[in-house]
Amino acid sequence: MVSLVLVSHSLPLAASIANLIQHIVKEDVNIAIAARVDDPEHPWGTDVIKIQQAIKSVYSDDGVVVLMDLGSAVLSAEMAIARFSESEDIINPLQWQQSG
Amino acid sequence: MISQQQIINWIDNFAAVIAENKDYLTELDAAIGDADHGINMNRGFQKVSEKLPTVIDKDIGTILKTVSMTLISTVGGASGPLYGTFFLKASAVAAQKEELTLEELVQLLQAGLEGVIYRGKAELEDKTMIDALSPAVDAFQQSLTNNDSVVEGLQKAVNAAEEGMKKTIPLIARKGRASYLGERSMGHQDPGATSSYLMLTTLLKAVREEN
Repeated sequence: MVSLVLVSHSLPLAASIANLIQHIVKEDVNIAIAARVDDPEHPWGTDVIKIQQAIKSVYSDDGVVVLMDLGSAVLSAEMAIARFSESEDIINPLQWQQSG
Repeated sequence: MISQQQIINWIDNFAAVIAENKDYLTELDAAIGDADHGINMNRGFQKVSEKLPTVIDKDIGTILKTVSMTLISTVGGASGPLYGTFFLKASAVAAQKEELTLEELVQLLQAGLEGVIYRGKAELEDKTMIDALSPAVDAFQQSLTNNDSVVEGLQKAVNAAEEGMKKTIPLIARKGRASYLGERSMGHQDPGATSSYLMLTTLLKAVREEN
């Protein structure tokens, strides 16, 4: 089954969406969250490395759909995906285009 | 030649300049964006400052790659992947190098600029950091053909960046959150172009001081 990665500026937002999906979908969906940055005062943001780890954590041959909230989350997710094709990782960039 | 030490000084000074201008950059961003450019850049570059001592004896490529990796995991906003890509592409030009020729420094900035264009898909006059970086790289490249010194070339680059930064004031933003404002984005200087200008002024300062 296709897995999901939720990329958000806000951890509570992503957690709530993951929660809702798990309630609605009958089967178990693999969902990973990549949200917020490590700054207690200003936690809102996205982290390329966290997104990359999230994708890796739920990756299967069926693919992963990466969903983003706002502007910079898109740039961060695109860079995270690009980093897979630059590294000697499991993922073929063509598969990404098909699954993304 | 530009030494490894000068590159370290550049990054270190840039972190300090970002800290000094944190409120100013955030103020510019408050007018047309989400009021976090100074906060985000400062969080990223403070982490860069902390990491810098761990690569102090490494080649320039490793130093710049470390800057890139730190920024993409700490900045949080769009400037994370954008500056992260700038330094990543720049690091490839400086791989294994302990010093850079003038030509290599021009190539380094050119590669960084191309990375930002690729990542952000922005064009000139979209009211982004490209408006400062692109004319700066053009001016620097032009100075190569005039046989200018590094300092002369970078001074021309900084002048072009400053002009490009100021030219963003009347522009209507076509990228990022500022683009949602349409015509209301007119009359404000772009925060990304401003931080890019500051990055080049600190590079000039670092190169001038040890030459």
